[in-house]
Amino acid sequence: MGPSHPLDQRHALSVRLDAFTAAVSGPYRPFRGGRDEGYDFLSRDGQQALVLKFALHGVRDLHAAAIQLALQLLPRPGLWETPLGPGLRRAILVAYVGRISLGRIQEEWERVLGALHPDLPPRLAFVAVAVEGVATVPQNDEELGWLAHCARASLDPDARTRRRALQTMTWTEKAFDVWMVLLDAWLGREAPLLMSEIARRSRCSTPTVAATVRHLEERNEVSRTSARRAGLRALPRGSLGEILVLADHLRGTVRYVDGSGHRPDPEDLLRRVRAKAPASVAVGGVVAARHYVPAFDLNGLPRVDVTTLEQDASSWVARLDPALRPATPQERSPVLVVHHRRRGAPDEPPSPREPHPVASPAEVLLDLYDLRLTEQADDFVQVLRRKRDDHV
Amino acid sequence: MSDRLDPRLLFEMIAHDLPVELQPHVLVVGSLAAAYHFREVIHRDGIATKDADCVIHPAGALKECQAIATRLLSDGWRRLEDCSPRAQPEPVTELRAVRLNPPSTDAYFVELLAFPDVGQKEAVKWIPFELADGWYCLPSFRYLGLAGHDWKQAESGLHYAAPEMLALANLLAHPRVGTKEMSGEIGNRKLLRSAKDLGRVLALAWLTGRRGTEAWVPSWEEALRETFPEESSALSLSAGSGLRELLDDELALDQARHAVDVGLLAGKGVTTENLRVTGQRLLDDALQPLAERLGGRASS
Repeated sequence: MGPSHPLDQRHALSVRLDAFTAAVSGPYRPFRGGRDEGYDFLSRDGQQALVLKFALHGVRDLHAAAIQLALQLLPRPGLWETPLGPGLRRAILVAYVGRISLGRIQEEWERVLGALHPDLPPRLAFVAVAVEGVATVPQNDEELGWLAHCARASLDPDARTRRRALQTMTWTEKAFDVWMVLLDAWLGREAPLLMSEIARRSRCSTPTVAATVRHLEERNEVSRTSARRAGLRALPRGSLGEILVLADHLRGTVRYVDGSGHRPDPEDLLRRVRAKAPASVAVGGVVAARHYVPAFDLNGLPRVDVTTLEQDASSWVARLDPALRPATPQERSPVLVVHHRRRGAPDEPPSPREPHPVASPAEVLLDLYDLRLTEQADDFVQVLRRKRDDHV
Repeated sequence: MSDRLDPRLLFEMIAHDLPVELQPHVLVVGSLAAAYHFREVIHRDGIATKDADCVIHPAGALKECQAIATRLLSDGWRRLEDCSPRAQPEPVTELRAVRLNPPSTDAYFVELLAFPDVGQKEAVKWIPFELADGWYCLPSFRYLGLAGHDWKQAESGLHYAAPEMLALANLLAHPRVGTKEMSGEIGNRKLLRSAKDLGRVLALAWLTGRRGTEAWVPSWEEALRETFPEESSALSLSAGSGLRELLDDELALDQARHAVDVGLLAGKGVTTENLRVTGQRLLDDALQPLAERLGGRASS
């Protein structure tokens, strides 16, 4: 068989890029730095950059890519703006290296780092996808491990099945509800749930549950321990990224801004929510994160998030504060965010400290990502999982 | 040159110009008192008013008023152009209020107001009083009696009315928006008297903030009980009626916005929407609870 047509090659690259973009879109956004090849991504907190290479054909390519990566951490003399800049915490090379052995790749990577100024190597990282598997430098880095998982599923030209699964998942409200039940169960370290239990909690039909679980299983995000039980393998970052893009629609989110002309006062609003909101309203966001993780790393309260079973919250929102009105698309700093929840309440019940129910950890996690508190969200997951471990 | 003045400076000037022994009888009210109270947050250029409204207390202190006016005139204070005596105390509507510039500057003038009696029923009463050169009058605004509660003391030692009492006095003074216009223009515009005064209520509420206006309720309750013992219940029920009307009246509300935009809220960029929700908050957080506490039901 002869070489494939250039247009086919370009299309194949485009498919791989789309797949990778979708897989990392939760914590990373595309960032075109203007270089002659490759695509870059910047973490949503602006701290980490990815340089993506679809193919490294030999160690010379690797050397060049490593040097290019190191340059991202330095200012460009003579230019007003650098594409990424010296403020980055870390620059990560993600590359498909084909048949080059992973051992050789790691060796060459270390060799290049040794030639750099000593300040730079601790801020450089490498994710390699090869025919034989994946490797990260440094090893045992959770973020790099997750990127390797995303990269393998999307960059490996032979991973068509996984890519197809990534591309064809359609998120309906029902599928989302099933996913949230699975996420809450995983965050709570529950054993894999019976399909009937997922259906009960999500208020979805068994066929809907089965179809969603099957999709997630194809993406390697769900494992089925028996014909009737299913649970997430890990934090499903691939589907999480897709869901975050659609979250406002899937969660029926309405954002409210303060129309008084004053700086919003979320603490005061929270006091009013506790005093005046219907008893079924669950408090989420940062307040709930602190409930689950008292050492939650954030000062102050950026806004109030609540979830409610009511489709129309406008009447009680008006009672909370006549100054609240739905935000326009241009208004990016809501003081109150109301999410509509269809499935049953897995919330924590009211307590003396919190007179309203507390939204479930999965709701809170989505709130944190929506707040762009990516690092805190990741810590929230880790602490919650560890906490549940302690209780087991 | 800006015609605005720092309220701190105005208070210092008044304290310097007014004889010390008279100061305990003087309570500064109106926009100057409000501007001084919020001196840290209002426009850095200060306020546009030159009018220092001074209530002379206690109630019925006609002799004190005469003594103060006589002393000021003998110290070289100068009558404003429209402050001229009349030969007879009648008709009272022809009498002029006492409005005096201090000896050394035209930067401000004081206007003497009487502290109302508990039994005063008229919204405003003109009290004739005689000075050496003829007859003048002291306006006595019924609800300004509330300003005697919880008054504050400025750094200069002068007393001034608390913002919540100024707000309540203005709310009660305007149970309807009505049609009465100001005699002069404010910021090149003719305004309804109610729009100007209720606009000031909204400005005071806006500057105080929501947490602060909630705390007005117990002070209002106590002041109404003491000042209007027979009518406190009825007044608590009607205190929000003019404000409600204003919030429903686009034209009047825009006039209120204009008044505060050249007054206490200058430079804040406050819109009619901002004022409307500030008014709704005040109704929900302060006027409604006041009506429930004193009137036993929701306000009308």
